Amino acid sequence: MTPTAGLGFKPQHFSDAMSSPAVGLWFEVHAENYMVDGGPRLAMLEELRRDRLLSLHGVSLSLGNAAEPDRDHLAALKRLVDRFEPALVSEHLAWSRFDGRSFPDLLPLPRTNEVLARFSANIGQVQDALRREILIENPTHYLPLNQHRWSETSFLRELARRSGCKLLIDVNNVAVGANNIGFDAASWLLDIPPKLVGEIHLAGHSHDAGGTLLIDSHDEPVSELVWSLYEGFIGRIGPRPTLIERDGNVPSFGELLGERERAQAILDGGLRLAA
Amino acid sequence: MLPDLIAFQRQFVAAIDRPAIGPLAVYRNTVIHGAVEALRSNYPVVEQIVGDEMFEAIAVEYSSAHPPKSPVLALYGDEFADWLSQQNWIADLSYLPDVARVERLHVEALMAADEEPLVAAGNLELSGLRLKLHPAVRFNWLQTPAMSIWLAHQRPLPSTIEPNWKPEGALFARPSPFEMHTPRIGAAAHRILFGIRLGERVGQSLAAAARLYPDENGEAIFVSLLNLGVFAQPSPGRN
Repeated sequence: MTPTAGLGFKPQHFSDAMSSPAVGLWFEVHAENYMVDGGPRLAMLEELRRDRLLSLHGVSLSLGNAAEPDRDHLAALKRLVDRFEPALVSEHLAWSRFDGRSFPDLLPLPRTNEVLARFSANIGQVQDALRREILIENPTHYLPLNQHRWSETSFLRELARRSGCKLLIDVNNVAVGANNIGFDAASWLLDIPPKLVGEIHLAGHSHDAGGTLLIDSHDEPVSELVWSLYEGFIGRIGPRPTLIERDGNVPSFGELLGERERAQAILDGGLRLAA
Repeated sequence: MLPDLIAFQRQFVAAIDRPAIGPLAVYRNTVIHGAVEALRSNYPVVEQIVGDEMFEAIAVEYSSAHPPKSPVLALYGDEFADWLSQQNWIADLSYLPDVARVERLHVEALMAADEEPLVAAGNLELSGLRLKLHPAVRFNWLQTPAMSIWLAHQRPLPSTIEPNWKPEGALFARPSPFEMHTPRIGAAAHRILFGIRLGERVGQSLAAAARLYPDENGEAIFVSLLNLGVFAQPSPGRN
């Protein structure tokens, strides 16, 4: 996929999205929002897909569980992949299902040898079912866990080595996690080999009421801190498809396009460096 | 089977299921927020009626009584109307569970499968056929004018809504992805739809409606249902 900048698609932006002349603009959607039998959602996505590339971003396959991925969920994901032929398919280093419940969040897992083996086998199952490579995204962190036996970057590298997956690096998650549990965001990014990076996410965060935590809320423009980390990262690894994520306080399409153009300018600079 | 991971997950879920502070509160809030927002987008008229603050409080309670089982939140809240009807504060708002029932029909019709509906053809003799309903058709009979209330909330609100306070029917038909019909229906139309859904022949349903509701024109009602795209194309060999 040409490394241009894309936007998270919001149904309220449908006509703006369809008529936008932006070159290289692509759209990402959460796969689960389209796991319905029919109706306007799917029809809209089909129209969008006719003109633009899509990225299908899964948020609740729960690959970090002790068991294999849910069969019905994987089958629903495969139907979407077959129908919309997305340029990118991604999931998270997280879990979100337990004991018959589904949690609308990305919950943290202990990075142990056992979890590594299960997680990479689960990625393998998904890639076999979809017959394509997927990307795994680094989650955000709020809670230091003492069960970890691997650093996050070495765990991600090892997952990629074992399963053949690539990585979706969410720079905001790195910045938020660095603040919340205390690590250096720039060093974290330096630990990621360029060849493993298939996509980048940029988003805004907010401050915990009264606390010291940053929240990965996706309800603000991308912060200057994240822009500067991103620019350094692209400078080092070269351009990659980059998404502006926005899920709360969603502004006009034009405003989002402005952020997207800023990312595109950085990617164009990276292209010149690479050439 | 990774007993350590399962024990970790069990402990984590227990920790975010109760009021928490600090990092666990962030996870807890995100989980609750996800369910509340899903409910909000599926029950916008209930939210308009009770106001966003009260809706939020109701949704938090509902989500703890019925946490999401499926990650597909587009269809979250299937027990909301029944749950509302069991709340002790509902006496003052007895029509609210019915409005929620109407909203549920709407959401289900929106997300249901797409299919070409049966269209009226002059020479097609339908009375001997057992028709199937189109997959994106939902209807119900309500003891309160909940459909009238729902319809009034689909346009800029008049300062007062004065529905005729008696039972009525609600029909949602979506014959193509972007085309949704939302009529209020009477008892005869409801009897015809109900009979056809049960597997009666068209003629049987029309005859029953004519006996029960002699003042209504069953034939005309059937034609208007047909024109709304309520029926599926008969599959060859059925009947």
